[in-house]
Amino acid sequence: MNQALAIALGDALHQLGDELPTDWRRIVMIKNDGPIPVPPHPVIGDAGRGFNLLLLTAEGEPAYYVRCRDAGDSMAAREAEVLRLLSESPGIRSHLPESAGTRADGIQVLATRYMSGQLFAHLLRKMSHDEWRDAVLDVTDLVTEIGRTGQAGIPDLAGAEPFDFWREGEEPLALLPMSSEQIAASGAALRAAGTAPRFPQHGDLWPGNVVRDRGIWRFLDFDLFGRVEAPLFDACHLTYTSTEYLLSGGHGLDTPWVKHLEGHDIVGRGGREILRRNASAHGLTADQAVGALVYYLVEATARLLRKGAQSDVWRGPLAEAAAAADLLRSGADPRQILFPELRRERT
Amino acid sequence: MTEEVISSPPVLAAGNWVWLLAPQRQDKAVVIAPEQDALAGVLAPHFGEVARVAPGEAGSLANANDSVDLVAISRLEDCAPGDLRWLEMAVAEGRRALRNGGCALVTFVNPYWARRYLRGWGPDRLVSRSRVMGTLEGAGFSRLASYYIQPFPEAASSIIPIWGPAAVHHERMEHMSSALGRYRPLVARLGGHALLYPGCACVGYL
Repeated sequence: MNQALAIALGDALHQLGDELPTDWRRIVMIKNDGPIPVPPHPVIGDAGRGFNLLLLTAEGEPAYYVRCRDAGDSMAAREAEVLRLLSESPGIRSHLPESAGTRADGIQVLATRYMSGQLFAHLLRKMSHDEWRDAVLDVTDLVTEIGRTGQAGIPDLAGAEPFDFWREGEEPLALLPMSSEQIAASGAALRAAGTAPRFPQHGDLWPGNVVRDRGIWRFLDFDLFGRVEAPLFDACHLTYTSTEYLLSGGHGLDTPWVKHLEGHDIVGRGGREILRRNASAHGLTADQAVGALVYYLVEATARLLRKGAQSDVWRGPLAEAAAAADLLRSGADPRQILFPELRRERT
Repeated sequence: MTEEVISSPPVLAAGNWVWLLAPQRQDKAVVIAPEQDALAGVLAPHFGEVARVAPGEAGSLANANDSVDLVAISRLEDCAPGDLRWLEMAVAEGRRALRNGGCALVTFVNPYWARRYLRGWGPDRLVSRSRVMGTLEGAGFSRLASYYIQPFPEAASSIIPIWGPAAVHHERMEHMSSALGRYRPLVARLGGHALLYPGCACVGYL
């Protein structure tokens, strides 16, 4: 292994109580998608993705997952710092990855001890609908707790300015290839939502980033933590994506998730319950909760479009945003359909 | 050295090979490769000097006696299809050009990749990993390593040590949800990992 990488990785592993492997067979390079160093000239695509390493034990079992990025990548450095600060809270430490971030000449690494246990994405294949609902409620409660800890302990997450759904949602909404009527209906819902207190979100809470390990839920991938501060974003994302895994193993939904939410089947009832409980935890009104749901669908789709993802990746989320817009245009009251228990006026 | 055509970040990422390899110095690299190959260009940020040498000129490497830190032979089958004598000559020349602490890298098509059989292209003109490893060993490289590469030849997103557990956990981690992709972890677990990957690389250290 190159000397600079060996120094950075050795230091990180030392912090985690381990040593650098000397056997070349124990180091697997994966997701080698961007050059380190990042080239000084512009290139087509995201040049900052670097590569990851999977480190194996001498017996061939996974031991560490290591993200390697250019030393100048501020997002990677921020993730290491976020995890360090969050881990100072004993109440949530057991739910976080055990990580250490270091750097050496030209490269930085974030080494994370491999989590045993099972991905939520795999567990969902065998879960009943009731087990799914209870699991998502547990997970979203925990993520809310992590968000509170982050808000209290991470300096750049203490913003006092409220989240303005229309101001934040206008730009991503303009990116979506929907009809002008659908855009107008979504915009009206965002404007009606007004503002709500900002709350740090995990930002990529899907079943592939949640692990069940000896009865404890643990979370992966904190590179977007706090980058999204729209309340209900994580709850919407996990409910939508876990519904997809529950019903199809992650291969898309025949009926849009929003249509399930409108209906009376157990998935719709469970989804509404999850969103309602999370909205209540943030003190949202029905208008704000509808606006938060629309914002999530718009931003999640726009995120994929900004990244230049292929159409088969963003087609599903776009169908959800369109289904929500159609519900808003239909004349029905989405507050009554989705959040009948939430209060209508702000206090 | 000719100007290389460099495109997207995944192609540029092939230069990340250098983070896995361990030349003691990174002053000079020589890449023996066909004209369309991008390896010399993507290695350039890691070395003070990188030269691409056409396969037909590999015999002149010895002029650079003891001054090179990395010698790479990229796309062996395009350099000299099925010609083992050329490989032996190029590796021996590269060995002479390397200084102590340097290393040699040889990348080539995996002759056992299952899809190649499905396409009706057998391994007759390809070279096996054991042959390449034997050539490196015979030239005096004392420490050897070998990897699968996927995809190949461009945009090597995965570089996997040729060791059963490495392939098994690579397949678990990088799970492909396509109809055939679902069986890859099982194939790896059953020891058939040579069938899964399109490219191979062998590394020799002095």
